[in-house]
Amino acid sequence: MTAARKTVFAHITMRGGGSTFYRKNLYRLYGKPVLQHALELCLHAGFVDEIFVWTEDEEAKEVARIVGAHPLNRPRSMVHYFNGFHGVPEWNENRCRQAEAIAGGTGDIQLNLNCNNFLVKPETLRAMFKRLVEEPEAMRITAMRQIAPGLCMVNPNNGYLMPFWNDIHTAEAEHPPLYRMVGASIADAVRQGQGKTRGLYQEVSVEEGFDFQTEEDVPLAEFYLGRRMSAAGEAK
Amino acid sequence: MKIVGLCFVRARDVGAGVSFDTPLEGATLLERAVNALGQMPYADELHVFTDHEGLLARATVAGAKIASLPEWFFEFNVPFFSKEQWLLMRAMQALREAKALGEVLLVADWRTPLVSARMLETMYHKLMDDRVAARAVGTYPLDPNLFLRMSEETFFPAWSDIGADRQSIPQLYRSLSVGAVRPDRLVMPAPETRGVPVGREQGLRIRDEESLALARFYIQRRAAKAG
Repeated sequence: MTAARKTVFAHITMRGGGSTFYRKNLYRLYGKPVLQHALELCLHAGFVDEIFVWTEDEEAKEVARIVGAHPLNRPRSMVHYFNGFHGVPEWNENRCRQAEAIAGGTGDIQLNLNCNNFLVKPETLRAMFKRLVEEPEAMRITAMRQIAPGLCMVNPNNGYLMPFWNDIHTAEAEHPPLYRMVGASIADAVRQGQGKTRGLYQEVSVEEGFDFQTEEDVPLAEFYLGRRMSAAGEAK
Repeated sequence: MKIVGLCFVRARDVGAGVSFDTPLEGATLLERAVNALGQMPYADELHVFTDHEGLLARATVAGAKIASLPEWFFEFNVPFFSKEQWLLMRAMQALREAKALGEVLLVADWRTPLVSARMLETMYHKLMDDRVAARAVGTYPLDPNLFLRMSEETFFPAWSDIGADRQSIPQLYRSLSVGAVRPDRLVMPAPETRGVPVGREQGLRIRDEESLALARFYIQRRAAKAG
């Protein structure tokens, strides 16, 4: 089997609630739920055979159906990350078993996309996919976004700020580059079982690495999305 | 008690796509920063320190007196508190010479022009409430899962626990060059700094055309919401 013939499944894991922004994934931006923007990203990537949304939320399942994705049932006991009843391997097994029942397989390659990262561009996913399949030892490719230094944290001992990624003796530009992992990765399930494998990384822009987490992110999402839609002649 | 509002403008920061004179929805970036200081109810005097000749040629900006500082003053190029601390120490010297040193300094930054007078007021009160802190500065939160790039394809976790919910990872912040300062405490060997969350919008730092466009969007959106 050649790389081009491998089956590619996209998986979006989401829940209807949300601790930082309630029902964030169903918040409508330019008339569409955030989930739909993420699903359309998978569609426009051009290399995905099937898209699955693992969720307990009926409204989210309906959104999945609208774009032709398959909703998978996320058991109530697996909605919370750390309830102690199930580990992540069980999550994966649950959703993959359901996907297998629908598509007749689990997919050779999996695109895992976090709804928060719906502003990754389809062409970036394509570039990631191309790199993954062309690099024989590559097991996974993950999007990364560079962030500026000059960070601090609250000192737990006294409540005041203390430097975290700061060297007061060097200019900001000379600080070792710090990156943030973006919730978009593509993994080759076949190669994961092989002995000699390695991970790849794809640097993305600040805009593509945008992470939609809180209500405060709504204006920024509108800014980026509106500009992108205007460029494409779609903004309303 | 005298409260002095300050803003610094480095000549070398001019010409990188945006400058202190770049207009933003009816006012320049510097005017916006100084206006916030002026609207803050407790500021007795406003000063802009600069080595920019064009700016020095003006008597005032938005009601702030313009004062000269030599180029060397601005050359200490480090991030985080110490840069501002260093600058403030020298600003204190200049203010003292001009007989304008206050017991409290309020510092604005033309690169973060969306910080409001109300937020400056909050920083002022946070500082006044604190019995130890030398400064109260604006901060906004930053997501965890940070990695140090070791080589083209190698990343090392610097602030990350992949298996953990990211909300369980201690919060990191980016600090702003905007805040309230107690000069008497600033001279302590290790002056403490209190962080005051300002939110993503007010914490926006103008670095380039992209961030300027975002600032414009924020202002227009706020105006549209206000009707």
